Amino acid sequence: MMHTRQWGPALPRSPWRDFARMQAEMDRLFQSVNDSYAPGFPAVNVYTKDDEAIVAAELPGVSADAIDISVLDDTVTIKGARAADALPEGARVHRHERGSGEFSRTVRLPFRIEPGAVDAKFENGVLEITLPRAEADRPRRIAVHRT
Amino acid sequence: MSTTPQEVVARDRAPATTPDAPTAPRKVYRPRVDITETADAFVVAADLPGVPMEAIEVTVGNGRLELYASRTQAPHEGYEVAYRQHDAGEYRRVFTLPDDIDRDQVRADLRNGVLTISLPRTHAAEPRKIEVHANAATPAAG
Repeated sequence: MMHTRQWGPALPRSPWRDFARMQAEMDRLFQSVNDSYAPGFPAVNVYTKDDEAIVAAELPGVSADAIDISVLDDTVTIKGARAADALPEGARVHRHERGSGEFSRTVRLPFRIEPGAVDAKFENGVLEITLPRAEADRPRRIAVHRT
Repeated sequence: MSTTPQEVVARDRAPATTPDAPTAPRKVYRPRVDITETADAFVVAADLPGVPMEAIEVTVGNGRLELYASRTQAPHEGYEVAYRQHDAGEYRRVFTLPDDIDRDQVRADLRNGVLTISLPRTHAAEPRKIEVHANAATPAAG
């Protein structure tokens, strides 16, 4: 994962573009093997501020206890499975657009995460994970002494 | 006669709105659905993540099933949006229905962002066969 920094006048660099590029790379690396879901499921939004990030993932039809969230350094991985709806005997399928099966998606944040302080809630099929920045990762101001 | 629910592509002049929706244009999404048919009912399951029950309208009538829902997103003030794949907007999808749906028994259930609509079929009496008799009287000649 390369971060390019330019020494010179501060150029406006869209955090969106960098993030999207890094996320696409991450999705390729961690692509789940399952056919039913397209790579990059679930759809996520990522909101950040200095000390905290929120990841909101769309997981309709998945039950809360089938969701597995794990945190390592600066990444959070959302894993789980959705069962296909049971088909009664002799049923005819007219449309089948909703995926089922296992999914796994990893998001990398711009900072290391404090695992003990991560909170997650699940409502209306949307999972919202709040991830505070690790204490050890917060920048410290260094005093400059005159000699 | 087809018994398959046919999809009606809703071509709106303007973004779909309910009478009291704001006039600003909003994204309109077509929710993914699964449709299955048994002898007793059609079942339509639609993925509607992020939509609470009160923001959903399901209408059955005029041979159509209309599904409409409005989704908002929490503002997350103070945060920068680093990456966005889903957004607020509206879900809309319309299907034509076969004739044998029992409109009064249609049921819609919402669970974990999935709306399941069951449309029971009426078991109307089989059409009555009419026997054809030969007409014994023949027209008088001449």
